[in-house]
Amino acid sequence: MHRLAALAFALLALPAAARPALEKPNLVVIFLDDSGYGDFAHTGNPTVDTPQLTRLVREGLNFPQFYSASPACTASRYGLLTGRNPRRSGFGKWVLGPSDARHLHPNEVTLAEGLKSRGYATGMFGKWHLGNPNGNNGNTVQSLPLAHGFDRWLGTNVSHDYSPGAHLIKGPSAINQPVAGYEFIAQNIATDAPMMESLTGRYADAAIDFIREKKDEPFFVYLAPNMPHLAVHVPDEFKGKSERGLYGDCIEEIDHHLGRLRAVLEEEGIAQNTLVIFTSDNGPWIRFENTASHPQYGEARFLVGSALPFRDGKGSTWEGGLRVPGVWWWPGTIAPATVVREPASTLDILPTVFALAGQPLPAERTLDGRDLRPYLNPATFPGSVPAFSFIYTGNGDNSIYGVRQGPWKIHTRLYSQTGNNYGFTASSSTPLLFNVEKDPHERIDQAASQPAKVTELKAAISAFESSVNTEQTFWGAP
Amino acid sequence: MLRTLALASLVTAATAADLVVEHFDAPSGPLSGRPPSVNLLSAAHWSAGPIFLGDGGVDDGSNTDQGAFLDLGPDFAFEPESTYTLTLSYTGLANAILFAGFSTTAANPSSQAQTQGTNFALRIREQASTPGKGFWTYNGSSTFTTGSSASPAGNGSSTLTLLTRQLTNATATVDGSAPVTLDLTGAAYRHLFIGYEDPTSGDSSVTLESLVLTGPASAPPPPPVAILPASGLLRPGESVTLSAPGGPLLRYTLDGSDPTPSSPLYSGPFALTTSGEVRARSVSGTSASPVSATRFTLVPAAPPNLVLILGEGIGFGDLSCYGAVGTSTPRLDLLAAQGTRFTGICAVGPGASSSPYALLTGRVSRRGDLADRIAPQQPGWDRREWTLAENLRKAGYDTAFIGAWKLGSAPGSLPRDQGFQLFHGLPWSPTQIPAPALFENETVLDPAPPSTTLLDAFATRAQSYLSSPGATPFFLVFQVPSVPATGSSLLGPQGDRTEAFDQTAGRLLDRIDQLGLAEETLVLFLSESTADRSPPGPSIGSNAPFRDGDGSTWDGGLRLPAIARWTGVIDPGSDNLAPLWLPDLYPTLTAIAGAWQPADRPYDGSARPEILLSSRRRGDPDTLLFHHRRSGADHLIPAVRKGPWKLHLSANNTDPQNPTPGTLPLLFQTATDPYERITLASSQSALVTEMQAAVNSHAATFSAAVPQLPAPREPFLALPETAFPPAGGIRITYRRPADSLHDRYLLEFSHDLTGWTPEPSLPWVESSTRDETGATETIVLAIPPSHPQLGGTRAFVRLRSVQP
Repeated sequence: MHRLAALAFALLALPAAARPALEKPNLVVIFLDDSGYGDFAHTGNPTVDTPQLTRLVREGLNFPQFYSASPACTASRYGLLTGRNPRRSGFGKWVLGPSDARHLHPNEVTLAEGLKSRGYATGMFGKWHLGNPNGNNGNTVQSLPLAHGFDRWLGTNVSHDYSPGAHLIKGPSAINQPVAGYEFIAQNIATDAPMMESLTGRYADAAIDFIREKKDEPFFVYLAPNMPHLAVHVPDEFKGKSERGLYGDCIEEIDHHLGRLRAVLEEEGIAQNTLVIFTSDNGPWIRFENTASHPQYGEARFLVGSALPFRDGKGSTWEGGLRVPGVWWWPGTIAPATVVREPASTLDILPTVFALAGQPLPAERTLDGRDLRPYLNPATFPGSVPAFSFIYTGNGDNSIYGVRQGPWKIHTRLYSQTGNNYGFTASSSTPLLFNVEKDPHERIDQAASQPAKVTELKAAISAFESSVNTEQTFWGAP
Repeated sequence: MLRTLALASLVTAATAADLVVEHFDAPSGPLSGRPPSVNLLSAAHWSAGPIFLGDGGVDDGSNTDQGAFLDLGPDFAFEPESTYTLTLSYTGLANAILFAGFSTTAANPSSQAQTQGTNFALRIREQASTPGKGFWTYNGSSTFTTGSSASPAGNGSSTLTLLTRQLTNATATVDGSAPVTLDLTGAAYRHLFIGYEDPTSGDSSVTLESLVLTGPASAPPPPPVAILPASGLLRPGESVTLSAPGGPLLRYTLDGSDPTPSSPLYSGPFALTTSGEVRARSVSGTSASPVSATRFTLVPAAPPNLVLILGEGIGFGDLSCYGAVGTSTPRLDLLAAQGTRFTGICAVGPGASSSPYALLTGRVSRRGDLADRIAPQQPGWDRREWTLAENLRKAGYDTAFIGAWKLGSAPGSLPRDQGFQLFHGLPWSPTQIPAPALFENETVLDPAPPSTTLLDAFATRAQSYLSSPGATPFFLVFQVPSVPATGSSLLGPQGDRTEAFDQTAGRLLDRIDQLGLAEETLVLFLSESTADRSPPGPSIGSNAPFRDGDGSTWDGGLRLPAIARWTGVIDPGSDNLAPLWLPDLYPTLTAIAGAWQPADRPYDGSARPEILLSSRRRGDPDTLLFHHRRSGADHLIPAVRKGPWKLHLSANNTDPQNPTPGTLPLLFQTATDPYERITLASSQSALVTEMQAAVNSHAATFSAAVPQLPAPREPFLALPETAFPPAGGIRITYRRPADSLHDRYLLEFSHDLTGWTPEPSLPWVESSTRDETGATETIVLAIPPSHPQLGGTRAFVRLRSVQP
């Protein structure tokens, strides 16, 4: 009799809404700002201590060749949320400032919108940077996250260093600041150090609250810390924690919150229902790698991450501009210590997740991402992943800079915020050709010895270019 | 020696009294030239520092509050558990309030700082309008306050007695303000301020007649605490012992903090339940010793098997657990998940012989007069070198070397001459010409082994060695050469080599695990050298994120991937950021094995088992390491590290894409700048000077002739003595150098003095004792009467050295 009673209580203790692991899995995307490929323990940083991320790598899947959609903030976020090459955004810019008229077009279908239509609760905690209500766009509510599928948002409209113009905003709210449905938590935060110090922790707290609140339904959490983008700030309890200095403190703070988030998923018994993806928007901001003193950023040269072993960083279509960590964790579905050697990108997240959620891909537009499910678990998800073909776009209007297929990449243009082209020149007619697997640092141009490969890759660029030009963007011409 | 802190002069006076009062008219120090009394409201403040506006806690909003600072000097600090007195005499107090306190900063303490204790120790207050009140302090209980009351006329003097013991961590609330914590010993409260405030008229004229602070007799601090066992290794049943000469009180902590007067008092040996740090200081009267600290690691009773898996040419960025992009090393990744992954282990410098020599001797190869790369069939190191294998042999280990040997292949240099009982492998590198044969001990197994078969041959032999029921514990060096391999690495041929290494190491690890030896075996993987970045590529290895590569003394040529695993001792899945260089491994592994090493030669390494076993994971700021390089006949010390700092005195770049970032000497903070990009030499010139001096001192240790080894010694230091015990048998007693091994001696029996039957001496060793210096050893061999060779009518026995 007692045993029966105990059994009954044990059954009651199960999550009320436990659902099979593969049915509408939760999605958590953690998207850093301006961290470099080499800024984490698992990517070889000798003095940044990130045990939580390493644990995810050991228990989950690592893509050593993972790309962000663009080497710059706005364009990269566009690619993540739409699965489409930033050339298709119609922004005409790779970074949208506080007073730019354009924003994420309402006709775009975002990760959040697709998942919301499958019944997911959707929360965004962090930097938006895909538009801002201002006089140039009639202060449209279409420029902020709640118009694009997010039920809840706490974050900054733009990077926290815009001065003025960077605000911490939350929604929904009836306060209606700066537009209907939102409210300011703080305005012009670029001069508010305590506020900037608090951002990472605020977002993590809000994300964790959201997960606890929505644990019985499918949810999507988009956690996009403003850090480690300059100006780098951490709260007191992380100051001096890292041997790497303030920059390391900042990465280690994010790692700490990653551990908290994972613990919540486990405590709530939903870890096996949750796919966590850890990545970043672009490479480190090496424009400031030699800046000893900056009025806003301080001794920036020690506050810039490392893209090594890749060349250059943020802004550039050298590999260092787009190579980012790509760690996927889904206990029970992804086997521990899985390494996918093939390249992948943030563009692939939307098609993969929509397939997992049972959401059809949006019609009447071209998506550039691929469904990666077979990489996650080939037995559960048989089939193959289409070959990787990646168009590099960049400075400053998302124009085309190159393409990678297989291990081969051509540069048809070069750009670096450092002004350094490393002794190379490139043009559409005489591009550079690198084997970025055998030569990840892009040291040896093989265009002269591989003319057929150059021709093939030039054709891939032409095909993409004509596809965009024919299809146009929702804002008109690309 | 009494230390008297007189504000008037800041002189240190030696007197017989405990307390000495000195007045302002003392002429020396920063106060010289001041008038003998000071009007606090006058412009002529006696402090050069900023003026204190003394609104401390009174909160009348007056801006007439004024005061002054006095810096007690950089050496000033309150001694723990000591008594201080502060005496003020003044005139003209009237309605005003006079107060004083100690602050850690020369900045004007805000009233918030005073009331909340920010950088601020305490405040005392004298107010003439409330006679009898005396001093106030922030300890509302006044437990450390005494003071005479001010006279109604506002002229008088007051004395405050401070007992710093009672101040420590006292918490009090004053005037309804927030609690404050007072600890005068924890920080440098070196700024004494005097404030004056007139809440009524604002025009009082207060004159300070004298103000004297006297401190305790400054006895020499008691001797620092010795913490034992010094190895930092605690085996089951072993306790930590603290001691200091003279028997002072000893206080200690187990949580990494410095002992305070409230820390536990040592009462006798204590055990630890987890690995951790013991910090201790001795306390005598009013002073305390510097803190001694030892980080202890709990280890099993039995010494572990030791397996070194050594690669070559594998850079920091070549393993997937270190961020490799195009190579996949699942076996070493798993080892890292089961053990600790190091990011601060570095080589001494370029040269194929440098790392193996450092590992096996604890020394920089210059001390052994070794060539960077030893040609085939040439002598390498001296027989007198006493290797890690020999240390471990003496502690009862079975020793084996499997793989490619780099330390010389003429007689005397080979593994079997240097302490290894088994040698299986190549006497020189497979890249050298002529190609080496494959040996098992002195037997040629294959005169021309194809390089594609080598890794399999080594792994197979290592597996059989591990499985053989030989003596334990064992010491296995598995030195895998970099050879062309077939594979599918995305990086191409160089990646295939790395992946083949990973698989080969995996076979060894599999066997260790299959035999259930994981908890009895300390496995250490490291690459002896880094990736060569001199070829243009493609398919070259990676030292990312470090600059340059093998052959250079940039960190890309020095920092080595390394992983240690000892299941049950090393926390699984941890990362260790502490610096360690290869010469440290010899004394460290010797300590872990509980073995002995001779003291008759200079070493470069120091025992750091707390780092290797990862109970310490961060470096300390004082670790000093030197990097060496040969340039032709010249020996250079191109770089030195002190904690996170690295100073380059010369540079040699092997990577054509490495531009030297600045002008030598270059100083980098390698924790915040592991890429060696930003030189700080110009802003840290004192550090540059200090590190250059350290290089000069280190260089001076090479002024003695090389190889730096003890003089050759005879195998017998005296004629062996024989005795015939009543019960029969023979007892032979002989003295020999302590760095000798039993199997270098052979017993031989004969019945006719013509034919001799050899037998190892080892089975008959009854005792082995070292003399006090540790240099010589007395061995007693006891051959029992039942020995078959003693069965006849007569027998002869002789003891012979077979030392090579």
